[in-house]
Amino acid sequence: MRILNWMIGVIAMLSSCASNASISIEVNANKQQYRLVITTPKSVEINLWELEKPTAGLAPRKVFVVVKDVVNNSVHCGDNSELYFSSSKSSDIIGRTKALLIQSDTTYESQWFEIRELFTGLKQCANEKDSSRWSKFQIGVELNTNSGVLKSVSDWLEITSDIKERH
Amino acid sequence: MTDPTGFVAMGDSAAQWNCATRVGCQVGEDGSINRVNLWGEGSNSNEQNQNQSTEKSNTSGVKPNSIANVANTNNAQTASTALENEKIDVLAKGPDGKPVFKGIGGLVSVDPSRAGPADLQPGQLQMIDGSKMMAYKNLSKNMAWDYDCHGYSVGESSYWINNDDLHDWLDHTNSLVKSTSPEIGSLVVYRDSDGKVVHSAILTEPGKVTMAAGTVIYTTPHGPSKTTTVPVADGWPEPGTTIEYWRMK
Repeated sequence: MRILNWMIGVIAMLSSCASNASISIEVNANKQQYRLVITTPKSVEINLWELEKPTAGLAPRKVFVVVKDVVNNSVHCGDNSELYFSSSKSSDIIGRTKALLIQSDTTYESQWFEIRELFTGLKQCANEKDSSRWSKFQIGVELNTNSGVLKSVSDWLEITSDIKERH
Repeated sequence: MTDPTGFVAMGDSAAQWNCATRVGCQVGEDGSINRVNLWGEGSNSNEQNQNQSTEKSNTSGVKPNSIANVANTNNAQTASTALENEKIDVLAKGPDGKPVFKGIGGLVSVDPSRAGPADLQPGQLQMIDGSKMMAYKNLSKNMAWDYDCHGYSVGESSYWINNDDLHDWLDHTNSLVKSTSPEIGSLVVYRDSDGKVVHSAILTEPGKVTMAAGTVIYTTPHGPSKTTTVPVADGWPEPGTTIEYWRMK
């Protein structure tokens, strides 16, 4: 029993080491773009499918926005979740696996994505359809790996007039 | 019960249920069934079928603006009747009147991070042209997964149908035909710049479609809804999208 407990302890330590991988969101406010960056001291496997856009015009599958209006109320859809995934509009979201191994001490950088695509469809389903009242947003991501979930949320960003007009 | 026009129905008879789940029909608070034209005025036709012609004189192709212009030349009653009689109906039905769906393999548990957990039964829908189409039946109570856009358009609001599966079926079906003169009830198909199907809806008003979209749940004055009605061009507003209209053959 003591040996079993010791083995469980070792496995937990290994998981902890592997979970030192981290994901961050880099924003280029001038270009209104963002990308996802994963760094890891140990090799980690991700499902690249989760970081791909289901179709043009939508955000990657596991990327979401949290939107607040001018009085700091949450702008959300009928499911009352604060998180809005524009990829939820797609019909192609039955899960698939596209494994990508990120080697130890390397960095994965996604392509640059358009911020406006995070908002696609929000106005149609939102509790606040007057997008002129939308004020700020955060970009978030939750990515599954073989050693746990990587999460990140950006700082609050201002919603540009372009996004308000488009969506 | 809420129909795609957002009307909340009272009562529970089969006729009331059928009415409540169809566009252009309302169940009154007293349980009466009223046809509603697509411009929002009750016609109170008391379930009388009116077999008026719904042919339209559109010769200008499939641009949304042209549809609105053409459709506005028709009277409201004609449009309402058109929807009742001509909404595409491509699923084969069993003796019980329900779509024929044959499950295949084990349940699929969807990624719960976006719209919550659900178990879906994969299977095949039998189509009236003898073909089959892959679909998923939601076995959970999570309404986000009850149906997607294609499930609303061709799956009687009962199934999830992936883009690829509708795309492939449209390539081979004998029951629908692409039309340059869209009518109320037409299937509206949106394709990306590569020609792949990305969305579908039903033309339910002149220049407007009623649609679902993936797991999205819409906020309405009557509560959460899987469907919304928007201008045709707003159904899938991504630049480069092409729009097609399909009618029963």
